[in-house]
Amino acid sequence: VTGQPVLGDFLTAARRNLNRARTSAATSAPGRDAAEIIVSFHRLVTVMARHAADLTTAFGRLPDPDLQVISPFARAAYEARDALRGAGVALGPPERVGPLACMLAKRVNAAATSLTTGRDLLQTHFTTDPDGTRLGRSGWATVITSPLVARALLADITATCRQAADVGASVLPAVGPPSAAQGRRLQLACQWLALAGAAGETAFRQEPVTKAEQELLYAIPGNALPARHGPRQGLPVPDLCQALVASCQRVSHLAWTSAQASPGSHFVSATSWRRIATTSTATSHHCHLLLTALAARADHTHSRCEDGFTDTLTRTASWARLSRTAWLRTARELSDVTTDVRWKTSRTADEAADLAIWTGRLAFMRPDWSPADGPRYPTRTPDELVPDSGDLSEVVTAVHYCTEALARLAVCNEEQVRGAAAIDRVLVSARDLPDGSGNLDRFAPAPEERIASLLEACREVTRTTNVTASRMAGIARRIEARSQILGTARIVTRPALRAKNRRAAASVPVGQQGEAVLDPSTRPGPVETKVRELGVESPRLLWRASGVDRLADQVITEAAEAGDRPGGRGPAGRARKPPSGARGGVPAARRMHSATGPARAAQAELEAEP
Amino acid sequence: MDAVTVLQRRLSDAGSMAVLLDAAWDVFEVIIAASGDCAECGDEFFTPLVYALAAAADGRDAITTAPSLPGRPAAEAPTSRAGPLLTARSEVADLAALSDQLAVRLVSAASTANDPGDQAACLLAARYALEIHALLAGARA
Repeated sequence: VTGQPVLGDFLTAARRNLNRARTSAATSAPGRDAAEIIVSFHRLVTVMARHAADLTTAFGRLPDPDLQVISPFARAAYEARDALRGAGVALGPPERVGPLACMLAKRVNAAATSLTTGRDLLQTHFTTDPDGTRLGRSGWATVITSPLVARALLADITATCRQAADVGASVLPAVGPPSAAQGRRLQLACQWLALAGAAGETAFRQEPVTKAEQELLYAIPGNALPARHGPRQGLPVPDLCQALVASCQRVSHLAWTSAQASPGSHFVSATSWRRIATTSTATSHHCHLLLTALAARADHTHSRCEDGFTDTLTRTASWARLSRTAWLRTARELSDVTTDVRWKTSRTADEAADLAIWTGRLAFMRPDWSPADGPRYPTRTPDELVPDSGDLSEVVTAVHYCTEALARLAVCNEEQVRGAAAIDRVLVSARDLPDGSGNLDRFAPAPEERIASLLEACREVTRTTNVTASRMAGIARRIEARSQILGTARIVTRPALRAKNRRAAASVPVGQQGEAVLDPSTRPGPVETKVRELGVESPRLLWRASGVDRLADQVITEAAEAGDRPGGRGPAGRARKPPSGARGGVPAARRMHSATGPARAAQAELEAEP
Repeated sequence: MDAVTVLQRRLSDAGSMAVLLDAAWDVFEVIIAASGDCAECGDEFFTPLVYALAAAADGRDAITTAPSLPGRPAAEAPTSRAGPLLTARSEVADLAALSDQLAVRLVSAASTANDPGDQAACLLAARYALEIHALLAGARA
């Protein structure tokens, strides 16, 4: 979408180079050719072994990789890794050769370079803390370590192994008869490569990698942000969409990073929370307007109307409106509190403001729209927004990216508020408190009920923004918009997103790669705990107990998701606490404006829709 | 007399730093509440009102740090509106005028403040009052 390098570029380049290697001619110096080819193959199997070793960490907690009960893909990753290591051993220690002259060796070497660069690209999403724990550095880390994406990468690597084995076999005559030492080494390595290529063959036949999963794998970018371009005036709709997508990518990354910030960080401030909440209220409002216009456009052209496309857009617009209401409520809750750090806005908050301006200029006719203009100016008509039905995809992509960024901002605010509250950094003015007159300090820790109300508002924003983004993913998939990989990423990372400790979810202990793999996000469940308490040490029994726990978690997650739709029995259906204006401790000047309003009633009405 | 008129009068009549700060604190509180309510009710000034909400909270925090701010409200804040229900436009215009007046008074007070803490608080709060005015001034056109 943004033109930056993605993993698919390098995986494809590796395959292309191996294809070309098959038809590349050797030089007239067979002995030297053989040495160069072996060195190139050594580089190739080394990097593929590293990929496979990385993959062994992605399939969950394994007490013993030799057990028959482990996932077939986990087993395949181990088998591929071991076979590739075998290929490396078979090739022997790499000889020192000068610059490559043999075209065939150059091609294989180029394939190895592509795979190395691809792995480096993946590694940009991780870092290692002083304890040696591998930590995610971006939202993509969770995608990369998700079993489905790992499976897709494994499929790609094993296919490359098969291809490399074919290439190796086809060049054997060029390097001399198999009896020659070099030929024997290469022949043996090819057998190991073929073995690595066969890893997980049955499992992949039974559960093939889907097109969406492969597209997501290929779309993984490096951990580099597009340049920030402040909102400009007078851009046409396609350019506005492109700029909005870039801005959303930046905001998503910044929000993800901010959500990991230490609660004591001086970047955590009420000013930033408020700015994020208020600008996101406006952005959600604009998304609502844009989706309403798209629905009208789809209705007008009758494209996909027959299968309820217009209705889907309309209902998603309603969810964007619910997000707007939830953000506004959070902004109001945040106006009741402050923090020890004030008047400093984070980069996340600054750039969240860009989203409101970009979406405002997309939604309204006014080319230099600014927040002070508000919604007084006419919105773009559906035909102006999408002049040709082919342009629908661009606007959907832009709005989809925007809803994902809003969901990330919601998580960022919620995590920061929760963390800051836990260490008493969420404060109120002492004048707000009943005994404030006797308090010499200007600020005091916020009362528990105010924290609870604020956190409830934050959770509601997270819920509504996530539902909106999920619905947008459905729309993007339906019209095959370029943003549909966001939806796939959302699906493959869902369990990780729900995990309590997100920081640990992307973590894998360094030094244990390829050994028994520990996933820190998976703590022993009740069944496994009980079995351990009984003194059981059998890996097989422990693994089965752990499986029962995971199954139970899955059932609970699915049951919870059943309540995610409007009208479902999710959290939205529960009774809400009274609005902030009805609470004690709020100054009299504020009580004259009660926080009840028609918006709350409208929200309840919408959520009650079937 | 409605809350905005009461506050305008308190700002005008404030004869000391403590009284002015107390009134300024209430002004920001009223803007916070009114912005939130108006944003929930009407669409015409939705975005400026929402943005004003955040600026008013920052302004209120600035006033809170002023050393001369009394520990508890010196005046009884208005608790209800009197008179007819205002339209969104006129309410927003009232808030714009109020924030403008507040900014002028705070800058003026900063220029004569004896305590550097009061001076800094007044200037910072004036900045947020001006931000609110810039956001809401469209309603006065």
